[in-house]
Amino acid sequence: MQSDSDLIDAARQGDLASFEALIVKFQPKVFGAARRYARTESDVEDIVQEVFIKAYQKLASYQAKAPFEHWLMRLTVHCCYDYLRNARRNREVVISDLTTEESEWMERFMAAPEAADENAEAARELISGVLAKLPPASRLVITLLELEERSVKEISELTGWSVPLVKVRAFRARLQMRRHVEALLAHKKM
Amino acid sequence: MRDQLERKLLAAARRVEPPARVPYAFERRILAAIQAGPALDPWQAWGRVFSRAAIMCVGISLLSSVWFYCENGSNRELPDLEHAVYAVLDHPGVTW
Repeated sequence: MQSDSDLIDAARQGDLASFEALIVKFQPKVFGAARRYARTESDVEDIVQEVFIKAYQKLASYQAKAPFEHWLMRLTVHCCYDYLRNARRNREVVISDLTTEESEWMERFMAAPEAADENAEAARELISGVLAKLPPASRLVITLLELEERSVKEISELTGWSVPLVKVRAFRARLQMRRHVEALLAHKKM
Repeated sequence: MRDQLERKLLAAARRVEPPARVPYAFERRILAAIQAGPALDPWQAWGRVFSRAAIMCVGISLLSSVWFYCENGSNRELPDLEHAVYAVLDHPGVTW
């Protein structure tokens, strides 16, 4: 079995079979990351395809200072961010009305906040709705910081933003998220 | 209550890892796209050329303005130019 660096060297020479082996090895991780941002499975596939096409085109610029996986995840985060910005520009409809299950979960939460089930599908749907309303940079930073539980330094490396910029964006994102959560509570109280 | 709800919702999102399943033979689709090469969008190419040209034009006009200002900023001959241009209106009887 060839190592990653052997496969990368061969792929740089134009050996597509070696690049295919890299795709097969790393695509589950890229799919997992893309599914955090994209709304439909076809969008997820488009993001993953874009990531690997860019990886192939930029393979010459990869310097083996960090593992290939880190480099690829940086590309993935950039592609996901581009996807979020394009989706925002095309003004994809975000459905704001709560479904019956979400409404019931909110009622249970308001009756007994501690007892509300975190494992419920409705809770996950509610948080996806809140995240979908955030601007692209805020959504990206909240996902990396709160859901993937990465450090500010890691986010800075993944996104290419400076550490202070990540902190500023995280602060702003939390404020925006808080406003949307408040709106959810207000909507339920009415 | 707001903070509690925020914590609960984030915890709910953290509990489930997004699935890492891959569609069948997806790597083939990627390789086919790589072999097909980039799709050329003529509008994008034009847009890129025009935006570069626009930036260059703005740069040239700024440089020309700066140069003109430095050269003629305190030039008192400007009114003469004005007289020459408006001479035909000031002296309608004169023919050249």
